[in-house]
Amino acid sequence: MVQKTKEYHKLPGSKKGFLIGKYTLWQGADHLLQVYSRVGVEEYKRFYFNDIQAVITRKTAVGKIQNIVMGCLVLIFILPAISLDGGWSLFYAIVPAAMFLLLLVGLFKGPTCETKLMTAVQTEKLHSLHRLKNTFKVMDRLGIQIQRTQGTLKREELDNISVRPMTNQGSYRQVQQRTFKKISRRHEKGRAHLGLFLLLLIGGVLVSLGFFFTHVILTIISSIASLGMGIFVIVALVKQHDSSMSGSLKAITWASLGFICINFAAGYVINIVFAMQNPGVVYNQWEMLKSMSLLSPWESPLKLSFDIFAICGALFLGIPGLFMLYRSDSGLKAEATETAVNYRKPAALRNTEPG
Amino acid sequence: MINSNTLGTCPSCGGLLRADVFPALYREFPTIRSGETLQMANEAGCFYHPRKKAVVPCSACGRFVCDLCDVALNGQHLCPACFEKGKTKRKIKNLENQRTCYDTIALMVATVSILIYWFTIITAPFVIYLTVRHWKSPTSIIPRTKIRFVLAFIIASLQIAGWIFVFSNLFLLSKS
Repeated sequence: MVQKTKEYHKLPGSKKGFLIGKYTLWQGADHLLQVYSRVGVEEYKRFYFNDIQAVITRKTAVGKIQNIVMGCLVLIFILPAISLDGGWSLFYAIVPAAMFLLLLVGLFKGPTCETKLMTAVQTEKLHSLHRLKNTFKVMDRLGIQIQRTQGTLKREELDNISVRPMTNQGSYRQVQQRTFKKISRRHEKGRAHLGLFLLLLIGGVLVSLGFFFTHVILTIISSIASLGMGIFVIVALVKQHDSSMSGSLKAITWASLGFICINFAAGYVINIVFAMQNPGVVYNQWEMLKSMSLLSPWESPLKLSFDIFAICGALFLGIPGLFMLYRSDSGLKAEATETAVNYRKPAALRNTEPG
Repeated sequence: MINSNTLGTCPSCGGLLRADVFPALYREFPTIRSGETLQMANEAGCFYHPRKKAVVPCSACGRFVCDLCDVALNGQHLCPACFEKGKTKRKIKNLENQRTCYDTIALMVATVSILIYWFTIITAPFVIYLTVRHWKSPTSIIPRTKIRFVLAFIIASLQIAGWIFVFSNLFLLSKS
């Protein structure tokens, strides 16, 4: 009986997309196949072993940050579990236990990285290779396969890379394309971002004030600030699209959207719980607002956890956001000057081309 | 750092990097092929460019093609028409960059519809139809079995059986 050979072999590592979808990597006879599967549709990208020029892996701090945040959340939620009694204690024990499990999984998976594959005409991110452990396994395996197809680099060629990394045939073209891209990308001042991060900080301060005194005015201002955050985050996301803003600033804006959504959802849950506990005020919105405003975080464990989360989120996103915005603004000014100088001198670049 | 299979510090940005570099980085770009012009009367010409010299027959249709029209793919030489036909009719696997996986869709419809159980009255027959209609359709390029179709079929059959049971009971109740 003729045994059917597998055309593709799965390589270690996979990555989930933002809400749906999954990236995986498969090894074929003469190429690497990146598969993006989402709701019954699969998209393929092929990289032929013969065309691969380089694979660059850069260690990132994403995993470390995720673990620190998860650790902080475990600590935040474990305190009420120890101090409270009854059903709430059980709830506060289950939540950090689940988070602790996630933290363990994150620690087991190891440090994160970003992997990019380079050919003569493209630089593509390999999404599934985002953990160093898996990337090393895959690269050890792929390296042999690619070298079998292309041969090995000579010692002097390797030395050349460290001396002059930009002297291959495409160098002038690549520099020109990069310059063009920089020029063609829209410059965004980041006013919406500034508004968002300032509102986040104001929101954090207002929630902190609730620990010391309660008043209906404070609740109204907090609600207006939350509404403003919702509006500013959407405007900021629209404005940053296809702009020259840094990736980290874009990422922190997306994280702010996540935080605001969770904050809205949690606020809604608190309202429902409060309404169930105080059925007498449900039909009078003003009375309900007043009663909720007078509720101190020290009296309700649910409100206490919500406030801790709101303060942590607002400060962790607001302060770095403002800092990044300031850096991005000064960086852009310097880059604009540099681009203007480089764009005026294409002849100088042409001289560096071999031949 | 370069081809050392370990992480090293980048001299430019200070980040930890591993770089695997291959000889393709130093390869010369292929020169643009223009096709050789016919020199003698008894030489075979290209089907698409009669004035150009034919260099190879198309592996699919046998037409003579010049250097300019020759598309080398998977060890075969194809003419532009056969290449285009192979791409649109999905006969050349290596040119496909998207596929619809009906088995995944069938299983998803069968399972998700359970959440809104009364919806299964419509989705169950649809899942049976998808399974039968696309049983032989190509699914994913990557290796997979028919387990999704089988599971979807079983779940949909159970849902239909459930509805038959419900309706027969209602019928008997109304009769009694």
